[in-house]
Amino acid sequence: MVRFIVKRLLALIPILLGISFVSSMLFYIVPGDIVTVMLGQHVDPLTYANVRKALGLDLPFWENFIRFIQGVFCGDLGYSYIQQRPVNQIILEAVPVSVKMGIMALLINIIVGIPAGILAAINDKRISGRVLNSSSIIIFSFPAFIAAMFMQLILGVKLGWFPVSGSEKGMLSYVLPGLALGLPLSAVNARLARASMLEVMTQEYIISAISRGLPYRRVIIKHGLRNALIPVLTNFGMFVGAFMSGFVLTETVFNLPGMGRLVFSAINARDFPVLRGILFISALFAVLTNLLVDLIYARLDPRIATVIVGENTDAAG
Amino acid sequence: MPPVRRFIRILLTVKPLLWGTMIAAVISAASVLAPLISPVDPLAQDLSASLSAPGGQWILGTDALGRDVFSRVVYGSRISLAFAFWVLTLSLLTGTVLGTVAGYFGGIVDSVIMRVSDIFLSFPSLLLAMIITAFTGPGMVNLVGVFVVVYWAVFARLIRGQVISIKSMPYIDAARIAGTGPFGIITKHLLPNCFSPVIAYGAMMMGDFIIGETALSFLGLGIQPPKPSWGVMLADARNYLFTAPWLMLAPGFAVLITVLGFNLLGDGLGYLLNPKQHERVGVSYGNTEG
Repeated sequence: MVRFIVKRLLALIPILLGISFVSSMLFYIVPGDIVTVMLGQHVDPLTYANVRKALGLDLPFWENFIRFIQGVFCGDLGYSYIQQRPVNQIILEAVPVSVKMGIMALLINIIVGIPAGILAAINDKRISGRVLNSSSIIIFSFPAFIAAMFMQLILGVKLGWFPVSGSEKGMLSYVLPGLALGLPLSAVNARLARASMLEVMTQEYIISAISRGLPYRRVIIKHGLRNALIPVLTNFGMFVGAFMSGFVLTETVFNLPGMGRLVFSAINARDFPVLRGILFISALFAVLTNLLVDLIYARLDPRIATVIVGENTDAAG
Repeated sequence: MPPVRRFIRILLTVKPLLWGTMIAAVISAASVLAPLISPVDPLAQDLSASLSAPGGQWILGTDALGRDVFSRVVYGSRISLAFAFWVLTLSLLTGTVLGTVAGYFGGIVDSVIMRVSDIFLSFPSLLLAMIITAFTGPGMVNLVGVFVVVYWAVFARLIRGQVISIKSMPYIDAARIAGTGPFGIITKHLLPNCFSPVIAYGAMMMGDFIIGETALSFLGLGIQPPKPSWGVMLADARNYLFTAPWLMLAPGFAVLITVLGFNLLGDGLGYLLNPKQHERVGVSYGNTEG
């Protein structure tokens, strides 16, 4: 297990370097002159030169890349000339909103997705199982922001149950955004849980448990569910990426001042250092979550760790 | 059974495939025949009819500038489908070339290609697309380019996996012994046999690309107004959500149905093209899927 963890951590180094590389490339792909695009045509020459220098564009690309990595190590992601504040500070202010929304979405995802998948698997041959399974693909096809607008219209305006925008009403303001983000992805969860449950239910140890006369419900929960949930868990790494992309749209629709709306406002203000910082932070977060999921996975199913270390191939592959 | 009848039988047995094919066919037909279907020019403004409710002369109502929502939704399908088609083609092409090279030749080439793809896959994909587009600027061509950069790695991995699993098959060895060169083996024996999961996955990804285009256009990063992209229409509709909900419902349902169609198509093709599942078609699948 220790060897497995060390191996996974070592595999992280090239990935982190790559993420930093892509992030520091961003300033170089702007067509035309980036400082003019940021600050407009009529910027005075002194400011122009200062900003250009501060962005590190007077240096060759490699030095700029190394400077970005140094900055990251010291916890410095650059400076926003639009807001006149360090990027770290701007991002840190927005994080709590997104975290609350993410927790809400994750809760909805788990509470709705897993039971729906299990029910669909148990009732596989019945009409209720079919309905669950067919509706999961419809819900899964809902893009989060369209789901958000539908919910705003129906639950927010027509029924008036939840606030439609802003974050003033405490956790209640996060219900609709959480639903919009969590519900479509819970369908993915349900489909996975169903497939894995159907597979587990044909295993010999389940059949033997049932033939020993154990109550069906107990076999399902104690023997089936435990093993069926492992593939579902590994997929949570994927949700992190989907959540990060979903934040931008859902927070924009619901006017929540989180990371997502920060992306939106930074895009409109051409606040490039903020965008670069957010891209780096979210990739870092996604990579670390995936690592965590892998470690939990290896803990739940010890065969994984031995196979990967034994094979002597790169764990990330 | 003759192949045509067999195909129809499979189509009728695998319900997702049937529905997916139907929806995809209807949407494609609508986009090709857009000038015939839509009653008026999608850009024609009629300010006297601004924000008319659906019904009567305007099937799905009009927007704030008095443009016909139905015509705009129909023309929007052209943008979405063309975009998804180009992204799929180009990222599949890039992914196939790199994935085959990595899988077939292995060694250092494989390691380099796979480490680079790891890096691209570690970013949240749509967020990466949004942020790159924020730097490169909006527009159809930029958008296609950015999506290819973001999504090629997915296909490269898929193809590489297929190539590796097929390349150790006896018939590949036989071809090699018979004197076929690497190029011949790849094009004649490897690629034709590794495409079936890719086709199903590609259909699913069409839905993702359409969502991506809509999302970026919604944020003002993709297709620019006044072009009738569904995302642009949804962005306009936000301001009138409470007074003119049809502005949101029409493009919203258009996106939903199109994405659903491609997801069903991918789902159905996945069952059809997977040999293990194929035997079960009609036995298990046909009975479980309403």
